[in-house]
Amino acid sequence: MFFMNSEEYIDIERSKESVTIRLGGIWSVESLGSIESLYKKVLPEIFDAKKIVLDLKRVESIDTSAMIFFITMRSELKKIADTRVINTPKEFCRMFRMVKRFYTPSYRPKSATFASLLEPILRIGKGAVSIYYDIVLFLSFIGRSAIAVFDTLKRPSSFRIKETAVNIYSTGVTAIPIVALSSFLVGIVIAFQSAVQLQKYGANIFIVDMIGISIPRELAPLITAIIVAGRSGSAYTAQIGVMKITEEIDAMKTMGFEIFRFVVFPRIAAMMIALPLLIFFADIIGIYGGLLVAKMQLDITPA
Amino acid sequence: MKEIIKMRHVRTVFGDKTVHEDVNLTVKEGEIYAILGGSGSGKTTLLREMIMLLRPSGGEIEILGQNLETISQKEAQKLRSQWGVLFQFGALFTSLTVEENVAVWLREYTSLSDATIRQIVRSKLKMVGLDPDVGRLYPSELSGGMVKRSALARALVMDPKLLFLDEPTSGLDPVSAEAFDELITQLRSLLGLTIVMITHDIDTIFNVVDKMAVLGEGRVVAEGSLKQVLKRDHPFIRKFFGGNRAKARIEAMKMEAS
Ligand SMILES: Nc1ncnc2c1ncn2[C@@H]1O[C@H](COP(=O)(O)OP(=O)(O)O)[C@@H](O)[C@H]1O
Ligand SMILES: [Mg+2]
Repeated sequence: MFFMNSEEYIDIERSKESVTIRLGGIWSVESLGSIESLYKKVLPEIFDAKKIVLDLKRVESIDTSAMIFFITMRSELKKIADTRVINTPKEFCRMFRMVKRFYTPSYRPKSATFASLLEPILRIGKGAVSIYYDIVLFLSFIGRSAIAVFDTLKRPSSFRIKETAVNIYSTGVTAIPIVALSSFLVGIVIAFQSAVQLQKYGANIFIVDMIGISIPRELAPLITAIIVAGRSGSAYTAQIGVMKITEEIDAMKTMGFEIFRFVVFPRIAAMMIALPLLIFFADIIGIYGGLLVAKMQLDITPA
Repeated sequence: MKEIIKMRHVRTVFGDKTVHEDVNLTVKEGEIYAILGGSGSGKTTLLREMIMLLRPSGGEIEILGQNLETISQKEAQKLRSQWGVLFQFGALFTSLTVEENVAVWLREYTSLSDATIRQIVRSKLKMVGLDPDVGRLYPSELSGGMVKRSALARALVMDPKLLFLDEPTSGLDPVSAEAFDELITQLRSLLGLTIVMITHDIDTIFNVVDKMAVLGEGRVVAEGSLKQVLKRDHPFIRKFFGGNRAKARIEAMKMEAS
């Protein structure tokens, strides 16, 4: 892209009673940025003009966006003084007539009023109301899920085994690597930090209780829960969001399928089955991590 | 007339499936050019190759004098600012209002003031036949026809030379479809656009299109004006133009000619 001397776009010449504005160059959406800033610079100089002449002789070409700008500019100039347009090229004329057909004067942006001062308060109010509705929706979600659970218990044959299995795979099996990595590292860190302290008191052997109790009781469940909540929570949001957009959910509703039984309950059930197993797995890996450190740091062997 | 798009020996292969064997076609300046073909014949894929969303497995594509195979990053960027694309389902940005959707390009690539951008956007909405106040709505609040029109306004915001339309009238009611066809012809004559479109719409083909290419078995089985295409004997052409609606139109065309 080449840049021409921006003076070429708008050039003004003053005489005693009139101001001549010469427009020139290629007026396109790409050059419009410089044209606009040039125009803003020129505007104060012609504020006191009695008569304005717009000379378009040197305009090489103009596109629709630039023409929209030109029409706005011309009506602004008309407000300042009597404005005349001369030397209009044919091409320019054609474009002008065409754009004139759909040119829409802009609405005035609202100036700061008393109402706009209240804007922050309005926003707080709207936020509060939306939180209220979120809570209501959440409660109704829990209630409807519970009903779906009871319905399934009443008629166990209606339990969606296939969907549940798929979800156990996607939330449980595929989460194994990341759960293994984090619980292994936590096992190592806990063992390492306590080894340093325990050594001072010669209480090396208590590292067994330290790891054996803190990991299965506190750390492994916590870490696994956080990972699964983050990982599967967002996956569920994406899955169900897409189903909503592609109207799958609506299709289910119209076919009389209770979506809590078809969409929600299989996922909750999958979590209820997968999470304890994952935690058990995290226990083992975490303890194994601690065991390694105990062996290397404190020479405590398992056997 | 200048050649805007040239495709030579284009081949497309997905895995072990060959979609295009050997596609050759030429679009000239100022034409409204349609790509026809059965479902799955590779029309959308061909369009995606033209707009650099997909690389063909072989062959050459030249657009506005640029070879897409050897084009540099910078030239590609410049080329993209010379065409507008209307996707089949509009592809409006859902998190933005219509006005913001249309303004996105202007905000990103020009240094224009908000007031000027708003002015341009509102005028362009009017140009595609929308009430400028529609600009305040979000895409989810629009009807099908309004979505297509808004997307068209977005495609036209940078005054492109070339416009790609993927099934512009599909999913519209006949009245909106006809209005959309009219709008496209109008824009072509007003702005001197070259338009490439995919369509199944018999009315669009008879009312709007200058030239067309019919895809079949991975090739262009017929290229030319409607009359030229009708002369070719091919199962798809026979079937496509053998329906009652098409037959009536062809009769009317013959009556007019004689
Ligand atoms: N990304 C892709 N991967 C594999 N196959 C594809 C892909 N995109 C399209 N296809 C196949 O290419 C063929 C042509 O598709 P498309 O161009 O969408 O057809 P249409 O003419 O209906 O628009 C179809 O058979 C489709 O299955
Ligand atoms: Mg398609």
